[in-house]
Amino acid sequence: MNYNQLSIDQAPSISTPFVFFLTAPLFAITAALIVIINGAEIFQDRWLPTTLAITHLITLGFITMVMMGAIFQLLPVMAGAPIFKPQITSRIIYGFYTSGIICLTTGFAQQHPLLLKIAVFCLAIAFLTFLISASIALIKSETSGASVKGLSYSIAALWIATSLGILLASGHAWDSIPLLRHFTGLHIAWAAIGWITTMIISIAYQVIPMFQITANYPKILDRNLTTGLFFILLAWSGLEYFNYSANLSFKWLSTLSAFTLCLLIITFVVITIRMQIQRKKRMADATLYFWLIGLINLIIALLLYVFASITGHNLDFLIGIVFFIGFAMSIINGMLYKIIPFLVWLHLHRKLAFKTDSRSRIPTMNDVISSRKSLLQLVLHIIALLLTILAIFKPEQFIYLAACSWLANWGLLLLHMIQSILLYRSCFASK
Amino acid sequence: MKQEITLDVHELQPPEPMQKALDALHTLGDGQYLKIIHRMQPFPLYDILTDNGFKYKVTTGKVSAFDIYVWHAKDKEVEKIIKDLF
Repeated sequence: MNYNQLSIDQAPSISTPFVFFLTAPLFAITAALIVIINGAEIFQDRWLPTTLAITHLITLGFITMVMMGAIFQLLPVMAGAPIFKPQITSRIIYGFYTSGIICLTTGFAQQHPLLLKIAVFCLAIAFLTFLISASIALIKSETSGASVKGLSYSIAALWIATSLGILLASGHAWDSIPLLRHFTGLHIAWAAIGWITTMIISIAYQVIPMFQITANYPKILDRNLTTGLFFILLAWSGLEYFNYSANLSFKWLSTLSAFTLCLLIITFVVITIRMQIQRKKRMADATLYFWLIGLINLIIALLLYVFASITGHNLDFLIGIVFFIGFAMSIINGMLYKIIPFLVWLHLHRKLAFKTDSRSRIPTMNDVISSRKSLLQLVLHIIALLLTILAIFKPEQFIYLAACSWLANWGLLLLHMIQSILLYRSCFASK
Repeated sequence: MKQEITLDVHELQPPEPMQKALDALHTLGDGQYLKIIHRMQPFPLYDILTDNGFKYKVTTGKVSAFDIYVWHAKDKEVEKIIKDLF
């Protein structure tokens, strides 16, 4: 079979994903500062205004911020499907998205309806622009395969998570709109499982065998898992909705579908960890450890969810922290240590590879961010994560230590990113 | 001088496949083309090729998923050979 020569001259410039990547630690640092100001009280109730602000600084400000930036780069690389006019589109998204997050979190923290209204407006524009652009790119993609299919499901899930989020935020912002708090579970599930977990699984299909030189995933898994997750999530959502609105008693069925979701994801994690342990090259870098930490935390979060569902214990904070910070942030953090050096290396090659006087100046990926640097940040990340988990049980003793260690950790991540950009620029300056 | 230079990168860890492809392209003479055996379509490489005066053709591979043929855009003789191949 012959393939058409793809025109991907619309591939994004290096600044497109980097703007998102550089902003993410700033929001995370803001979250840590709010924790320092408010102390242990943030753990009193998940509905506290400050707690809602911190949650969204992490989920929207860090996790989704990096994922959006990565999508701009991933779609051309993985699917051969660049987003239309990536520079302009990304600037529109970035402008509305950052303004939306600032207004949303300040609106939550200050209980300020006007800020929340502006946030709803900005976030709706940002997400709509992003979702429409990414959806069109994926529809036009001629590439098939497990990763692209998974990415499509994660984008579809983000449509649903966003719609529910906008509905909930509107309930906070406008008195005339009811606050449908019972939709929060659906919002979280579509964001956490549908968007974040499905996208990480899709990325894993590509990067685990490629970067960690493992065997490929079993065909049955990579062909069916993301489809299964999406439709079980859909069935679970329907059951949850009918249980509530029609007061029907399908509780056992919705619990069964939730547990099936957990089981499928745990199967994926166990297979991935086994592949990593049996990898062909016994190389170990920070990214591998970030993945391992993330995957172990994912299993713990899912088992805690199952335990809490069976016993009725309230483990919301623990599950939330283990999932969003222990799992999602760990893997995203680890991927940044691969993506950033690769992008710097790639864009330098694009511009300088065939200029004889400049070629020797192109640094290796390890020159961009050395293993020593990423391992140092890994250690800080582990310490901060452990202190945060301890802080749930002994808030007074550990909350400030945990917040300060996250400050140091995200500060270091930001520093490494800035150093990478400076190195990139220096390659052009030193002609 | 060999007309076809074959480069099998399908088992290498990124960014080695692209590095090796670029190294090979630096030595590519007139009347020669590079055949890259790859497990995936190297989309980022295509940008570099287009920006630097190369053309390429992608086909289903025998050893791995894809064979990518690359030649100098100005080399019409090789372009004809590639066309005749498929």
